Amino acid sequence: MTRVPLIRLCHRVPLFMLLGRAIPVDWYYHWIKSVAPLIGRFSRHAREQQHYIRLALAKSHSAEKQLDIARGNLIYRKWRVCLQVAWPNVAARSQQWVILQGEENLTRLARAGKGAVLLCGHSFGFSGMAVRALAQRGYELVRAGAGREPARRRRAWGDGDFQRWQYLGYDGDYWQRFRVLKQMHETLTRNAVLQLGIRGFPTGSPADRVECVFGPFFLDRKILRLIEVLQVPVLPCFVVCDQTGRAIIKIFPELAPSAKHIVASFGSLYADYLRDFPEHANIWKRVVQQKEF
Amino acid sequence: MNRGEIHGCIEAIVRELYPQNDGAISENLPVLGPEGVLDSVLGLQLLLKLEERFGIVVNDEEIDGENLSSLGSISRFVARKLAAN
Repeated sequence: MTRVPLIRLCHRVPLFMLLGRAIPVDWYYHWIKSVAPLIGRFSRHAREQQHYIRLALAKSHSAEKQLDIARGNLIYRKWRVCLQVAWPNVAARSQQWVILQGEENLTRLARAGKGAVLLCGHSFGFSGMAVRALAQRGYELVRAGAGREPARRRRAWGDGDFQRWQYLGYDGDYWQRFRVLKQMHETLTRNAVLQLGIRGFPTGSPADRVECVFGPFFLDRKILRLIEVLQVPVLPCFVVCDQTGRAIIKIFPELAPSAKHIVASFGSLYADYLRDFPEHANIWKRVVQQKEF
Repeated sequence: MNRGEIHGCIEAIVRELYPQNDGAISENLPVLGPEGVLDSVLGLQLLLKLEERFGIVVNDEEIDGENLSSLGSISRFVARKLAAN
């Protein structure tokens, strides 16, 4: 189930791809929803995740609510894998199941011609969907991350629409990371949108502290400094799913590229999302273990 | 611009980014790289300042230890770039 074999069969095996295209996207979601309780019962990994969610939210949520969140988290994680696998076949129909809110905030900056940073929580929601959906709408996007690319991305997303966005992987030695930072800057000078995910740390400077439902955390100072060096406006962006599996991408109004401003405004938004959509966070084990997430 | 002026400009930029060092900056001080006093974010800031101050463009393949590790190597690299322009 972790590899969603049925979905993979429908969307990656040539003979079955016509079938994959014909099936409405929400059918997949209902299928995931219906099998999730079984996975929760029999998968060791799923049970472990539920255990950490209960530990992390023990003080702030009732036992019943914790169970709901754990179940929602399981559905959401499986749904995310499903969308990744199905994307090359269903991207053309994405307007049916991707809702984009606040696009005007991005178009305003694109017209100004100075580029923008799309800032997401590192392990919250399906931030990768924002890149695909915005690229599908014609924006030039660059996503930076530590993953092994492009082979992994090609496997996950196919050879179709991903070509409209670029991935900058900063795996490697100091000089490779340095080159990637330079490429990020060049990306912005040609008015593209750079997506960054910011991590939360269990300790840090009081200036980077964010109050949250499970306790305080600290935003990644290195990303905050990078944003100050890049000197382009920052658009907070969060992606969650609604009850029918539709991805809701919300882009918030721009923030000035100042660490203080970002900690206050983005930090508060991030904390609100973690409070309101805890099932969309993939952080609970690390929160309990007092590690960065 | 002669070599001494280039060196002076770069030293001033490094001092600005590395204010902890209040003494003389040696020619061999590791500025960038794994052992460097500037991390990669400050390194990017240094690179952007070099490009702006000297009107040069540093290409990806030029970003390495040979060109950018110490104050001396950065000065030599910038001088080469200016001579080539």
